[in-house]
Amino acid sequence: MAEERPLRVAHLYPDLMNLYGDRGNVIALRRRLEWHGIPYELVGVAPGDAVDLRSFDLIFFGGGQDREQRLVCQDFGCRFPALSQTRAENIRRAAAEGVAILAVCGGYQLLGRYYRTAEGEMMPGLEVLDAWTEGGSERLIGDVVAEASPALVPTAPRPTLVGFENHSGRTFLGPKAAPLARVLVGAGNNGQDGTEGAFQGSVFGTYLHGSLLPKNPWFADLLIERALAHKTGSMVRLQPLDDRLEAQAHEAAIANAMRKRGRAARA
Amino acid sequence: MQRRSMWTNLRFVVALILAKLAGFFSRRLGRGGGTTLPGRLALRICPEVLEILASQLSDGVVLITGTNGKTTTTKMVHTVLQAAGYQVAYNVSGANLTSGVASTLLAAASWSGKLRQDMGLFETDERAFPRVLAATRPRVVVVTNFFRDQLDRYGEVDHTVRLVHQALTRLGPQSRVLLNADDPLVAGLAEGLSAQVLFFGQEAEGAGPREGVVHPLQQVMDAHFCPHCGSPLKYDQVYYGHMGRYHCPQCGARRPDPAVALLTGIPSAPPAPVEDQDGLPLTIRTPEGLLRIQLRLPGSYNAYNALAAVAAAYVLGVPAPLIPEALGAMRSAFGRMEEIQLAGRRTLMILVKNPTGFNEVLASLLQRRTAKVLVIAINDLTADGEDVSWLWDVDFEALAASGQAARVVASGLRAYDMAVRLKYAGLDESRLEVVPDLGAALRRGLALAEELTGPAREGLPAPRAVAAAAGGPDGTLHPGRGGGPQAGPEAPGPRVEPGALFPMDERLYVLPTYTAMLALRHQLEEQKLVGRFWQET
Repeated sequence: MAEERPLRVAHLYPDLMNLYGDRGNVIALRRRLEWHGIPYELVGVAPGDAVDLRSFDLIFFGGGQDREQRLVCQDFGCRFPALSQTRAENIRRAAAEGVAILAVCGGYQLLGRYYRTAEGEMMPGLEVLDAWTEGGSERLIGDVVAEASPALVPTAPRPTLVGFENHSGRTFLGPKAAPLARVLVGAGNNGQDGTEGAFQGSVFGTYLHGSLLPKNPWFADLLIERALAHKTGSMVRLQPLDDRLEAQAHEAAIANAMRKRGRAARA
Repeated sequence: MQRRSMWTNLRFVVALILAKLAGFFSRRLGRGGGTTLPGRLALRICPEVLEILASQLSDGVVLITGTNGKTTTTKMVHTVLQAAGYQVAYNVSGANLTSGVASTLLAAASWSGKLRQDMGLFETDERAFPRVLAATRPRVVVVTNFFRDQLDRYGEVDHTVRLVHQALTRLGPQSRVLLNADDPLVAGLAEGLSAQVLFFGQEAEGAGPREGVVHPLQQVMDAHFCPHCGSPLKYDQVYYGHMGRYHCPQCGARRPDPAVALLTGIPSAPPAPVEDQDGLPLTIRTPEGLLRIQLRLPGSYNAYNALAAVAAAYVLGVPAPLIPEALGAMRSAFGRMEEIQLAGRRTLMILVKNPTGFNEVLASLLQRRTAKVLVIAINDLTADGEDVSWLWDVDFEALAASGQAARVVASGLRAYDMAVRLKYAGLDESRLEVVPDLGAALRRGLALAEELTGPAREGLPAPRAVAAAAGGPDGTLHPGRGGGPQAGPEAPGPRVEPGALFPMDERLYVLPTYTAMLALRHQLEEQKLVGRFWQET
């Protein structure tokens, strides 16, 4: 029965949290699901929508400015009588049940315990990642190349993630969250400890825009596999697609980041 | 020029002479025309160089800032001021940072540091705006709009708005600030200013009801929050992007009434085709009466540019009858959209720099209902924006689904990013080629145009039918294949079913970002194919 239904994908707050080409991640998920031959259903969730997020297999949550994040936090506290719980409780349940979640930048910050802005304003997070974020005065901006962490990909050679970061918040990880990747070029979570992003179970957060998924197809497929695992209850291995163009873009992005870093180092 | 220390005077003289020499040699060497280097050099030696030169402009300074439309609006204001007999120093080639403004004045100054112009007109990048404002103490400031553009340079849109607002609060009551009422981010700048504010915007009364009209290609909304209380805004009408008639249900704030208003002209449908030489008929209401302008530039955004220019001309006291004639005679500003002949082929070069602008360009191309060869050149240098994620906010899905992209050559430093974007937009990979080198991409584009349409010749394109969206399994096109049962070019809306037939367009379309365009121009100049751009006007 459960296998008959399409894979269900939720796009959280598409009108509020859509910075820096975040919709590219949703476009990539849709296309790759098509190419893999997996029927799916995509639902946008706006503040106030009484939707049970546990009924999804994959949730995408993009980035936004402080102002949008504030509105989203209000929605987290919103109680939905039909679910007899708040949005935050509902998302925590979904995460605990193995729904795959990808959050980028502003969304990533709100998956943690809290985000304290540079002005000192506290925004409570969803607490599905053991992480917290402090606002910084200087923005961390530029190309990023990062290698998947051993916690995510146990054996070498580990694939790389390429993207573009643009954030002032500094995110730090507690013991329950593992870094998603190790920074080779760029600042990553906080510019200090060399980590980029975080994951805990099937919940993933990252600072990489770019958009992330089209140029890192291995990671897009990893998320789809996690979503399928949630849907079917067992591990699924996807067949590889013809990703030659994506691979070339990935390599070009690495070369480009190296070139720019070289230029910055010389300057 | 008085009350400066001898030391400052000396530095000024040294800066001036070195800058003029640098400009001279830069032009001689053909390196970018000396549009920014002299200013950079002079500012190093004498940081006050801009103040000193600008203080000579007895008729004052006009600054034009905002995300889109700066160059065209500036050129429009310049055309009108020239018609009114002003001697104007202005940054002609879009060199809009502090160094570009300084270079403009240094080039205009005599060797003794005197300017013959009496007015300054400068398009100013948002980042450079606070410094240029402080140095030039403008008489008039125009703010066009705020969109996502090169966000990585500034952080986020909100931050840019704050920077511009802080600078504007420094202006005294003798200055005029002209704001776009239809953009809530721009209209919000009015708060707390000592300067006199005048709003311009679109007035729906003459245009008939257009409830909830959203441009089909516009999916990017940058401002949907009240600038006063931060609650989500309600739009009664959307003109384009986040421009429209809005109000705040929370605090009651609403779009200010524009003193200079466009009564007709912004089409709710996509903009008029480029070939349409009649262009846009505009009726603009000023406090002194109605102006009717036949604008020969395509695109609804040019209606806004003209509106901003008319508002500036009005507060500068230009006699009203001069304005329609001057604007009606204009052609596109440098590189924004221009047609050149390349190896005998009509080639349309159109600057693309952010999602909103790119969507407008795509909308006007799709209006032509022809199958096209496109070269899209994306760089990621500082002037382009280093973050190419904006490509994912452009509606290439409409281009792919239209069946009007016969072939696309992706080029530039981020050629592969562009190619991946098109693949995910649904463009068949057989229609897609990646040629990172710009010159090679241009040659490839010309070769493809020749292959698909035959040798270039002057005059109108012959409509050779090509199965634009339904090539053979090997991706080849079939010239002359007859029309199928599917809808032909008359199919409504920008999305057309696959299998639709479009006549092959003989023109080559080149869509570069800023530095890609400069590099292409440079190559074309070397081959003596186009004139030197900094010699314009």
